[in-house]
Amino acid sequence: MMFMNRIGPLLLCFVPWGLVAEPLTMSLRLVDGQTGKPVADARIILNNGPAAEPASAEMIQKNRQFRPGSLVVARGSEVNFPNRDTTQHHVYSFSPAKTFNLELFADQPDAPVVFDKTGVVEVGCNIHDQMQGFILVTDSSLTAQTNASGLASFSLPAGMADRETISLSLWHPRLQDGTETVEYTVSLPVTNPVELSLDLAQARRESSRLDGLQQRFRDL
Amino acid sequence: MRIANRIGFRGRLVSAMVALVAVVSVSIGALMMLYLFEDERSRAMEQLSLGERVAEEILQRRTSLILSRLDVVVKDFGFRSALASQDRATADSALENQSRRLGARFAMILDSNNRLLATADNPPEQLEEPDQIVDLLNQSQVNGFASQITVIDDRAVELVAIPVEAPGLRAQLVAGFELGAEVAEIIERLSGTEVLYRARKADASGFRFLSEGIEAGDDRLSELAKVSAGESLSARFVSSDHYFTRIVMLADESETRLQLMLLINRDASLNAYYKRAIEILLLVSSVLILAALIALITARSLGKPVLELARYAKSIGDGKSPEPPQVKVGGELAELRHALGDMLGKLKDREEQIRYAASHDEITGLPNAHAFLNSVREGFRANQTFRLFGLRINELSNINDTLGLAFGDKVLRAVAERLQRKLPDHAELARTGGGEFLMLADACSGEALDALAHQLLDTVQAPMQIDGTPFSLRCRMVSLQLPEDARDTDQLRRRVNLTFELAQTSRTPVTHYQPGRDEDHLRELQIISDLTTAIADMGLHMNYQPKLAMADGRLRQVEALVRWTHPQLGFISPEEFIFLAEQSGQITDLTRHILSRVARDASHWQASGLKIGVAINLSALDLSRPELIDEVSAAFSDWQLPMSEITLEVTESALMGDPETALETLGRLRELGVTLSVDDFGTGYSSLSQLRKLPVQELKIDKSFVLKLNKEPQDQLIVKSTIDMAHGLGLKVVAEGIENNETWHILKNWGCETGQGFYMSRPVAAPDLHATCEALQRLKPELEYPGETT
Repeated sequence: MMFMNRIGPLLLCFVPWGLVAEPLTMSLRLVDGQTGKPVADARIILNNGPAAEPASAEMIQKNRQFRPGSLVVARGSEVNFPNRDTTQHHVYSFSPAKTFNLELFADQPDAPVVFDKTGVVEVGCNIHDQMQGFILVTDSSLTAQTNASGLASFSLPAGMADRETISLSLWHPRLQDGTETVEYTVSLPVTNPVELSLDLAQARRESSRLDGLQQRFRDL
Repeated sequence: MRIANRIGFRGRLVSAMVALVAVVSVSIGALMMLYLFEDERSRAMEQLSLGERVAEEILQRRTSLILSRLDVVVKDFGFRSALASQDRATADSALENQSRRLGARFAMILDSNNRLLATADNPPEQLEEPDQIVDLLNQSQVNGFASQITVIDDRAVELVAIPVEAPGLRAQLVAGFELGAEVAEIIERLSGTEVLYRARKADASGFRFLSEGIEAGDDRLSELAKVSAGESLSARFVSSDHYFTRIVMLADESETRLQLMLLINRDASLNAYYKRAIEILLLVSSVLILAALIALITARSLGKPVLELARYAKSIGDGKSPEPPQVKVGGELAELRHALGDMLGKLKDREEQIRYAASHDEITGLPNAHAFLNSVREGFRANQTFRLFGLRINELSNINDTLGLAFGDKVLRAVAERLQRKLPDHAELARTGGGEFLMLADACSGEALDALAHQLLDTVQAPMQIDGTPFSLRCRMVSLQLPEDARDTDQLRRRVNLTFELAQTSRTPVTHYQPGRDEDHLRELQIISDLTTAIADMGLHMNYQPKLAMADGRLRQVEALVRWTHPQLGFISPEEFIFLAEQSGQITDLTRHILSRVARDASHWQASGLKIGVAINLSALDLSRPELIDEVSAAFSDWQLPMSEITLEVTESALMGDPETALETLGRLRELGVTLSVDDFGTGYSSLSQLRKLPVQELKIDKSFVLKLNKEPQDQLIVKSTIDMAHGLGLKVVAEGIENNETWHILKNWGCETGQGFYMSRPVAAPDLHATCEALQRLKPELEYPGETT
């Protein structure tokens, strides 16, 4: 478990709790720490919430892409990796949360993969380097995904609304290190929406590195 | 001289040309050497910068190659799997495997927290501390790769880092590749330069060389170690004694500096340079030699005609008539040849004129003295015997003065014409002076001689008609027999003149030269010329002969007599040289000299107590000079005795020439108070009427009457009557030439006042006068009483 709490730039707006009688909903707004723009498709997990039930999910490979690009599953869930492409794929991961290896297969691997540790599992294809998928394994059932405005909202259960602080894990495919979540702590009560910011990478490094090398070879 | 000129002319031309060529070729050679030197340098620079580019390129390619290989490695699934296996041994072995494939010296994997995941081939300890390479790792993280060259274990090592990224795997691979001799060799091969690695640690003082087996010697290495590169790019090119170097920075960090040193050994290029220098030197020398040869040939071709013309001019100068040289070149030299030719022609014409003028008389057109003497000279040389006639027109100057020069010229022409007509055909005639003609005819004597001489003389003296004026000339004619009468032209001239002079007093119309006359004449000339010197140098001596008063035998006076002993001719009688002095006009100086000598001698003896007067002889010519009075008074200005004790003796003939002036002079001498005496009375033309007029007080009977007075009754008669006559005229009488006691007493008896003669005393020098006085004192008894002693 190598989750590291990174103390990113954190901006919380505290609103006087006073008149709000029923704090059932907490909304969050996520912005890019660099540009200030709203961040869409970010995954938010409220830690220490009600336990989630294991379920089964699937991450298909279509057009040499994982779909969905990211997936949140409860710990112990089974995930299938059906192949919808005409080519074979070799799906694997070296992530500490789950290391697996589905060697070249066509339609459907023999068995689904069980994710029994929380954490971010990065999934790739050994024969298609550009394919990348993420599976977030969590114990909490309180998860959300930001919309295009960067907004996400949670209905806090009674037990959680009474707490002084709430711990959040944020993830986005364009994080500097996509193999880890970013941890936040929000003090209750809150004024909605709680505004949070994330530092995101502008472009994928891998492609830039290749471009750089190719550029050099052309020069030679 | 000619050779020196030739060398000078050619030498100058040659040296000028050679100097020009030398200057040009040496400067071209020097420039070439300079260019070569610069060229060598710039070629070295070029080669080194090429080497630098090659080195940079090779290093970059190498890095790229390594990177591309590494890129493959880090994408290898098995490799990634091994890393992800979490098993260190597996990871190490996988890395080692890849490391060997890559040819890396060592390799290591660090995770995203810079912790070692795997190592291969013992990476150096310094790198296990991630701080050492944190920059490299960060750069790699950002750029996708990073490389850095550094020194590890005294080796140049390139560290290359590349990220290992796989789903769920984030790490970096760092591998070290040695930049060894291999890289250096490639650069050396491609650029042609030598390559050395050198490094310096922060704490070290100098650079160390990393390469192995360096061939250069230690001194060369220490030379190279000192080569330092500046900061700027251009300063990285450095020349040292044996190398051109260029420094490529591989690592320029504070703790480690690593440089790639590109070298070009200068020895080879310097050798080439020297070789070329020698070649250039040879070229310059051969160009110089060639130039000298061309100059010599040119000088010869130019100098030869010049020399020929010079020779031509010289022989013209020598008076020859050479053929003009064949000068092949045209232009100035041909012009010079023509000019010389013209000059030769004109020179000849002028020479002809000059020769004619020099050898001919202008008026008569006859040969002149010069030409005549030349003919005579030739005759002498040929040992011919011939007769020379000379003719002088008397009084030609009078004719010129009275009738004009033009008339005189006509007379001369007429004489010339007449002589020419009368002379034998082959005789030579020349006008040799104003009115003088000389003729050379065949030797003749006796009647033939007289006939010819008289014929010639008569012809010339025959009346002539000039400008309507009847005219006749008087001439003198002389003749000499040659070579008997003269052996050379100098003698001839002198003797001809002498004979003409003789002819003046001769009665015969034709005067022949008398042998010996010339020698006398020469002696006289010498005496005349030496007399001046003798007067000036006190070469004359004064002797004094006592004059005694006959009454008591007292030494009354001395007669001053001049004596001259000539250094070559010996004793010269006073008569001779006084006569010549009178002839030459030197008598004036002589008299003045004698006056002052006598006055001085007299003042000496008078100062020593001898109260003796002097008698001095005067020449007839002296009396014609009024200055004589002043000279006498000046000479005797210190005279202590009465002036009458100075007796001036003059001969009777003194009055002959110019009696009036002589009388006047005598009168004025008398006014000085001196005693005047008539000398040599009884000889010459004694004119009693004149004697009467003369203001003299004394009469001196000539010794010819006295010498044998005691024996000659006739002389006694003359002397006695002369004494009586003199006494009658109121004159005192002096007798000279008394040679014996008897004569002395005869004269004494007759009343002669003064006596002089060898019987009493010979003439003596002034210092001897004292002794003479004493001798006379002893003689006194004899003088008083006759016949008492012998």
